[in-house]
Parts: sequence; structure tokens; C-alpha cells
Amino acid sequence: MAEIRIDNVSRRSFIKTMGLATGGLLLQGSFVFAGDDKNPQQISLNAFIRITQDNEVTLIVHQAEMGQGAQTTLPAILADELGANWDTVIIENGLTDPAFKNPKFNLQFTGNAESIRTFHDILRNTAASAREMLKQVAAKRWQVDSDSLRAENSYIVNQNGKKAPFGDFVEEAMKLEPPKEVTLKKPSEWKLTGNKSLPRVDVPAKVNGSAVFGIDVEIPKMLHAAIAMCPYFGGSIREIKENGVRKMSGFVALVRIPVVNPIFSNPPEHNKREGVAIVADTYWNARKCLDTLEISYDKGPNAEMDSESLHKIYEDTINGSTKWFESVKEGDAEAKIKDSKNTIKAQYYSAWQSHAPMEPMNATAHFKGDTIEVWAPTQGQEMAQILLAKEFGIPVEKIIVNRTYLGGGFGRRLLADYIYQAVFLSKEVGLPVKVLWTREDDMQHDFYRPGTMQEFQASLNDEGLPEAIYTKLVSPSILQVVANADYVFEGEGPSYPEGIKETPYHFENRLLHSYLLRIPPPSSVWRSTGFGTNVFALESFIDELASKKGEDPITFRKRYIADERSRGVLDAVAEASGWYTERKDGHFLGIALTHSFETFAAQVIEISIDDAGILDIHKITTAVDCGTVLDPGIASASIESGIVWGLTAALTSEINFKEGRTVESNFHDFKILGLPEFDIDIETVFINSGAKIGGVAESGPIPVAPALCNAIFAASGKRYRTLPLKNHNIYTRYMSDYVV
Amino acid sequence: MKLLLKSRNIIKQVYSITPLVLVFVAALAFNKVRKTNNSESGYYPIAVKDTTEREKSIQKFKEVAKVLRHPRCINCHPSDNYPRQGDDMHKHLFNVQRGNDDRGAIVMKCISCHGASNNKYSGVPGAPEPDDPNKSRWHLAPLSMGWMGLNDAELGKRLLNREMNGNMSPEDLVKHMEEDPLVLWGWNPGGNRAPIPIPHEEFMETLKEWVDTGAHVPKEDE
Amino acid sequence: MIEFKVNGKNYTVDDDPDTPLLWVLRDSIGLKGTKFSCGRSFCGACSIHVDNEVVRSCSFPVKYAEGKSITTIEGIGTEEKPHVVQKAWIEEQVPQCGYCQSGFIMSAVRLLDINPNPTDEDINNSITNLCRCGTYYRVRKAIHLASEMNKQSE
Repeated sequence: MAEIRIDNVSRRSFIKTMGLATGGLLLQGSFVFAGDDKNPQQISLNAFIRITQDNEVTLIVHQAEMGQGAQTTLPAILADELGANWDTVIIENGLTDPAFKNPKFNLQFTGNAESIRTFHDILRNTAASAREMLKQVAAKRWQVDSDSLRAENSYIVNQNGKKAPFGDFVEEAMKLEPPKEVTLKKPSEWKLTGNKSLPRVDVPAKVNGSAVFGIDVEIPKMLHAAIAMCPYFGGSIREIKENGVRKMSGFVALVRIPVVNPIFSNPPEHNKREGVAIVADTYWNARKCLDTLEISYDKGPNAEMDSESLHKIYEDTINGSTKWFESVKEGDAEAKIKDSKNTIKAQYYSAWQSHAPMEPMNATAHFKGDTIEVWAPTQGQEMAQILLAKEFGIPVEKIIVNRTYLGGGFGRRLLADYIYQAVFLSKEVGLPVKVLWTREDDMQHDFYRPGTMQEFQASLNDEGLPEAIYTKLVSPSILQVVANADYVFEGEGPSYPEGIKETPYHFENRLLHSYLLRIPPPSSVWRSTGFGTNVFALESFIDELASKKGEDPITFRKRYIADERSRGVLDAVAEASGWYTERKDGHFLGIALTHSFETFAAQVIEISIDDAGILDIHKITTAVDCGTVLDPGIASASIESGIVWGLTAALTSEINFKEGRTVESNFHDFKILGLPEFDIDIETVFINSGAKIGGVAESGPIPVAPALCNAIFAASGKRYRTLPLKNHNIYTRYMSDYVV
Repeated sequence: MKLLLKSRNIIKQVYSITPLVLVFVAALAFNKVRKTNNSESGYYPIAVKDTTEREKSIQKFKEVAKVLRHPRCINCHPSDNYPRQGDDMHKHLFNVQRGNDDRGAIVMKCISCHGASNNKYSGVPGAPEPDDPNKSRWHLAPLSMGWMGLNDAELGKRLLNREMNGNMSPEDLVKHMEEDPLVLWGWNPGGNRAPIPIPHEEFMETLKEWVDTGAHVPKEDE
Repeated sequence: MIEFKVNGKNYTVDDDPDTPLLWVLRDSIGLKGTKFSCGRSFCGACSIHVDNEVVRSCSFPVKYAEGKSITTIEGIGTEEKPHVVQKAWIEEQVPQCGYCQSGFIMSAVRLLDINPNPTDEDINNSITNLCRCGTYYRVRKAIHLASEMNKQSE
């Protein structure tokens, strides 16, 4: 069996650019994990920047690269401000470090569209600081004023053109105190960021098969594990028939794991499951051994639970006398609605969803007695440390979490359950272990985007305009499992009311009641977070109000928007989509607006739909105001990506439950959209309003479902309030349910 | 007979009238039944060979048709460009299509996924070429051999039409269904796929009987 | 023992003959570019070429590889001389997380071999790989671009 060594620390292979310009040289193939015997020549100016005396500039990326471009834009910000040569910088994945913590949460993680909007200024300041320190050394050496120097292409340059590489100054610079104040470059001086599309540094490795994902990690003497986890929420393993597994080729150990998912929950015992793993010399042998076992389960207390019984809980809650949490109270909506003779009410529901990233959950770990080392495709390096410290009693500083590329994250890889399993097994067998889930494991043991239900009730004045809005929201928690034991959400959690608690609109009388459901299926954060389902309900209802008034949806929205930036994106998307121009026969438009992750976005979808419910999507136009778009290429790819994500959930994918477990197990029943569906026009326009930079990665999916349903209403007069739409027999021509 | 025996007087009379009448009555009574010898009476009914054979043949055909319409057969005999799959015969997932040569679209050939044998790990069914056990035979029957949505008359007509069925005589059809590995697969599909519910030998017997009785198929108005 | 060529090199493996070729390539031979995602031929992440035909290696027992010539993502181009599809993929900046891209590229390479000028309809019918990051829109553009690039270099 061939050994692929990933940790040859002294050997660095620089990526060649395959004949095309890329930015930055990336350690590919032989993936060097930072902290692994790093080049002793490197001198750290701070946690993000290291420079050798040979003028090799290394920039540390502290956030996970999961397709959103963090590994390109974050170091580009550093390089831009530092004045480093982008073509020769080396980019390295960071470990955990206090400097990498997100200050809003005091935690290092990748998600919630945080990377740029939270770290932009931090990175600029860090790089400016390093630049000024280098300049200071040069200034002293050349006997000139520091202000007369500039940093360019990894050189300090004098006004008269004299220059010397950073490497000449770094040893002394390291000894300096970082300056208390730095002047940042003006956006007009930015060379790498700010409306500039850089070629992504990870793309070449991703087109030649050399990019190392978690599943690709190889550690010397590593063993492999396949795992079976009890699929019943609250169930248990009744019996394991070994069927001679211990004599099978490659068998090393059969290990029972009492709790495979020790993720924090409230109550703490909620849905903990047990499992059994086989450790073997190769993955395939582990798989065959595991398949030889006959495992029977006790279904446990939730054996009668299914999608219908769960849905009934939502309905009973929203329709019954529930002990609501008062999330928002402005004016007196309740009274106005009670007294009104003209009210409108609508209920909405979005189905449960699975993350289903293309790379199934996996992790490699080595339990070394008093230290632990992990290699994993993780969004939550620090969260993994915290969990492992708690479970294995090893201090956080002695736990190293190396981060590979992620084959999709979407929020699932914040959680460290599969990392815990790898460590558990490594401890058991005394060697490094890689645990790899099957697609079935991944889908059945997800922490799902929960289904959520909303009810909107509005009273209309004599002009038919809403004067009071009363909203009810019923949802399981989204962030409880992501938080640790310090944060127990009671009454209201932080994520599930997003998009419906603060909205882009201002209504004088507004009441929001929310209820946090505690039900068996595990739930967590999923790309678009609480916004995804709440904005579907809100933007559909706004459209229903507009229709009741008989007014154009954009004109109607403009009456109530609370921020000029909303107007900006509405106007921009109207222009780009031809909202006010005449359309082809049978073509109809729908619009949705969102203010999420500090970004304003409006989206228009142009469709046709026939009487049989066959949908043709023609064009999707999005206008995005994220303050300043640093890299339009990456940002528009992110919007395109979000469109597919949102459309899939709107049209066809859903998670169901039966007999106390998840029904769907692979892509044949958890149906996602394919390439033919996207033979459409996509146009994305960016507005650089100059406001604070907002996040883009989760904005793409959010307006899709309501824009689509609003378009379908415009086309057919039929209003659909529950997703996915396939349950209403609405299909695109390529969906498998559609037969010619 | 009993009637006739009741009254001796009458019997004598009837017997004396015309033996031909008796024969005629007997012929009518035993028309559709068996060519047996009722030795009690020493009487042989005359069977009308053509009608009986045709009826029997059609009966056999209907049993054959039941098998042909089973998901294991008809999923690869669609009347359009989409293979079907599953016991519920839904459209094959992932936009899999017929292609120009009944073997799948360019780069999405049937054999890209379907191998020469049922794959126990991926669950994907497969069957081998008759002359090469390592080569997959998976493909669609040509459109001319599409059976979905056809009634018995149409199905029968199509089955026998030599311009549409690959120039097969009824005997060729028998050989095909006896030996072709892809046909045989229908009885050993693996996974949770329902196999053809009657044993292959029994099916072959019915098929051969159909051919032996003239390979008749119902007409449109039958 | 089973013998076959991968990317021009001869290999002999002694894996269980029913082992999916995917795992033989990844673990016994050490070529990690071909990915595991669904294990049931649904998604195409494991796509490779066997004697120039696209095959989903998670559903291809290694015993059928005997005597065949296998090409993986590592074998269609080199750093010095990338395949035109790889060049187009970089030009259009197709990959996001990148996990499924090897499969898409192997399918696109074969598509262009047989149909140098595919229409959108051809692409719809041939490229059935799944991508959760939604790179479909750019995959299509890159295939058209590769087709263009081929024409220009003639």
C-alpha cells in the first residue's frame, strides 16, 4: 500500500502557475501544516506575517477555505496593506491562536459570513503595523524619515528609488514595539483588493487533483475506521452480532463508543447516541468488517415520531395558546389587529434540510497521551479544542487542530463530533486513526436546518395599507449546539429569529412572538442561518400585502424601507432585470429584499410556468450592497453558489422523519438540483456604497425562495407558502419527478 | 345422455331419429374443451383445432406479457428516451438518458455506472456480455422495442414485427429470452429489486408454448 | 493479482477483487485526486477514464480493471502542460470548495474528445455530476471556453 506523506515539513513545493497568473504560491501536494516544525528562518512579526531574511514572506490564513475564497482574499488584504509581492508570498493555513479569535464571539471559527466583515480592519491594521515596523528599521538605517519610505512588492523603497528587501529589516523589526497607531492605505491606494478580481490561489490545486481535503490526509502508521451510529433519536444499540469479524483481513479493533456526538445540547442528554466502530489497516477493510456486523437497535422513546407528528407540533404551537416569548414590541399591533375589520393572515413553512457537503464527515487524529493532534476539514478549530479538552481532560494548549481544505462546510463542520470520534478511537488503539463516514452516515447523522413555521397577520387601514403586523415564529434552536455550555438559550436564541426580528422595513406597530421548540431531531446552523426561512415568509407576506393593495411590489416596499441602502439595491436590481420594461409573453418577475450579515441584497427571478406546474427559470438578477466589494469575482461566484443552494431548498430537497429516524440517506432521495437547471442567465451587480463591509457568502441563498414564489404568484395567481415546491407539483424540466 | 336414458320410449324414438343430431349436440358441447376420449360413452368429440389453438396461444401470450411488463423488463424497454428504475418504474435519476445508440449520452453511458455484475457495495445492478463476463451488457432496448404504455395487441404486434424487433422470428425470441444475460438478470437483480415473480424455467415453458401454439397475439378489438 | 495501467504506469495490486477501483486508486496506489462522495454512482465525484470511457469508480470492482488503461485527474495534464479543460477551468475560476471538480473535469475531457463543439443541450445531457457549491453555471462556461480554446490552437 502506497504511503502518501503529507507532513514532509522540510520539503516545500511551490505551486507553478500552470501558465496563467495566480496570486501567491500555495503549498500544495505536500501540505505543510503550520506549527509542524516551521522553518526556523521565519521571523514572526505577528500572528499573521512571517518573513525570512531571504525575503520569503509567509501570510497565515486563519479562516477555513471551504469554497468561499477566504484563502485568497484574507491574505490579499494583508499583502495589500503590507506592500508584499503577491506573486511570491507563501500562504499557509493557521492553527488556533488568540489573535485569530473573532472578537464578537471570542472564538476562532469560520462561518456566519464573518471572515471579511469582521477581520478586514484587523488584518489591515496588523499588516500596516508590520509595514511601519519594517519602515522604521529602514528609516533608521538609511537615516531618513519613515514617512518618506514606502513598501512595495516586498521591498522598502526610498523616495530616490533606493530599495532593499523586507528580509533585510525583519530581524530588527521583530524587536520593536508595534506602533500604537497606524495610518491605513486609502482605498484608492489598494492594489489587490477593492473591486479587483484576483485568481484564487487554491484553484490550480483543485483542478489537478492535488488539493488536500480531510479525506486525503495520510499520517505515518495511520489506521482507518468505519463507524455505525444508532440512527434513532434517543434509541440505543440492542445487540451486535460479530459474525467472525475479528478474523477478517485487516481487522484491528471493534470499539464501542458510548456517545458518538457529545455536542452540547439543552437538555444535555438530548439525543446523545451510541455507536460502534471498526478500526482496520485500510478504509475498505474497515468498511467490509463493519458491514459484516449485524447491529440491531432499540428505537427508543421517539419511535412513533415522524414528519407528520412533528409538523403537528408546529401547528399546535402556532395555532394554540402558547407561552410566547416577546421578541419585538413596537407600538400596539395586537390591539390594532383586534379592532380592525380588514385583516390578512398567512402561515408559512419551510422544510428541514441537510447540509450534504460533497465531502462526507471525516477526521484524522493522534492521541499521544498528554497531547492530541488532529487533521480535519473543520470550520471550528477552536471549538474542536474546547470539546476535546472537555472530553479527554487535556488542556487546550496541548491540542493541535490542523485544518485542511473542506469539501463544503455550510455550517456542518463547525461541530466536532466526527473529530471526537477520531480521537476516541486513536486513544483506544494507540495509533493515529482516520474516521470516514459514508454518505448515509453523513445524511442520517446531520445536525439539520430545522423546519420553521411563521404566521403573519396584518391589519389594513382604509387605504388598504398595513398599519400593524403581528408575527409568530415557531422554530427549534439553530445555535445551541454551536455554543458551548456557557450559553444556554432560553426564551429566544440568537439565530432563529434572524430576518424576522430585524427587517429592512419599519412598521409603526409590530409584534413578534417566538417560541423555541425542543424536539428530537438535532438542529444546527445551515448556510443562510435563520434568515433563510424567515425571509421567505417575510418577503412572501410583503408581496401578499402589495398584491392586496394592488401595487407594484417594489413601489410597495419602498413605502416601508428603513434604510436608503434598501432603495439602492431595489433600484439597481430593477434596472438590471428590466423590471419596468416590457417582457416576453409568458415571462413574469418576482422580487425579494434582504438585509442580512450587514449586507443589503435584492433579487429578481424571471420565470415562465405552465398550467401543469412546469417551471422555466430564465434569469436571476441580484444587486448586492456589501459596502465595498473587495473581490467581485469571488463575490459573484458566491452569489451564484448561493442561488443554487437556495433554489435547491426552494424546489426539491427536504429531510423527512419516520419511526424516530431520518428517512433520507443519499442523493437518490435527498434530491438536489443538477447542471441542466442552470442553463439560465445570472447577473450580479455590486453597489459600492462605501458603508462598512458586509458579508456576502450567505446573502445569495436568502432571497431566492421568496423571489421565486413571488414570481410564480405573478405568473399564475397561485400563492405557495410551504417549501419545497415539489410538494405542490411544481417542477423544472430536469427534476426527476418530471416525466415528459 | 341422462335425459335420453330416462324414458325408454323416447330414447328408442330419438335413437331411431338421427345419430347425426347426437353428434352435432356433442360437438357443440365439447367445442372448447379437451381432445379427450370419453371412454364411458365410447364417444369422441370433434375439436375445432384452429380456434382452440389461437385462444390458447393468446392466453399464453397474456402470461408472457405480464412478465414483459414487470419493472425488471420494462424499465429498459421504455417508449421514450428515459430509462426507468425501481419497482415503481420512476424516471431514472440524475438525468440519465438513452443517447444516440441506446447506450447512454456521451460520457454518461450506461456502462459508466452499470457493470458486468450486480455491485454489492454500490447497489448498482449489472449484467455481462454473453461472450465476455468482464464486459457490461447494460443498455436500453431500441425505441422500436419500447413496450411502455402499450396494450396487449400493440405489445404483441411489436414483439412479432420483424422490422421492429431486430429481425427475430418467434424462435429467435425464445432463444433471446432463454440465454441473454441481460434478460436473465431480471431473475437475479440483487438489492431490494423485486425479481420476476415466476421462475425462469416456468416463463420459458410458457413462452415456448406460446410459440408452439402459433405465437398468436390479440387483435386491437379483442 | 490484478494488473492494469494508471496514467501510463503499470501497477499490480493484490486487493480483494471486488474492491471498488476508487479505493484501490486512492489507498493502494495513492492517487488522491479521485474523490469519494456517495458510494453509489449518484454523484460522479469518483469519475475516471477506463480505456477512455468515463466510469464511476465507486461502482467498478478492481477485477474489471485487469489489462485496462486507467486515467485519473492526475493524468490528464501536467503542471507544465495542463489539459485545455484545466486551463479553461482556471480561466473561468470554476471551483469553489473543489471537491467534486475532478469528476466534472474527467467528464468534460471525454465530452470534448467526442464532441468538440457541444451545445448547451449536449452539456445538459452529458454532465450529470452533482455539486453542492453550485458551480454548474461556470462549469458550462468553462466547457464552452475549452471548446473555443481548442479551436484557436488549431
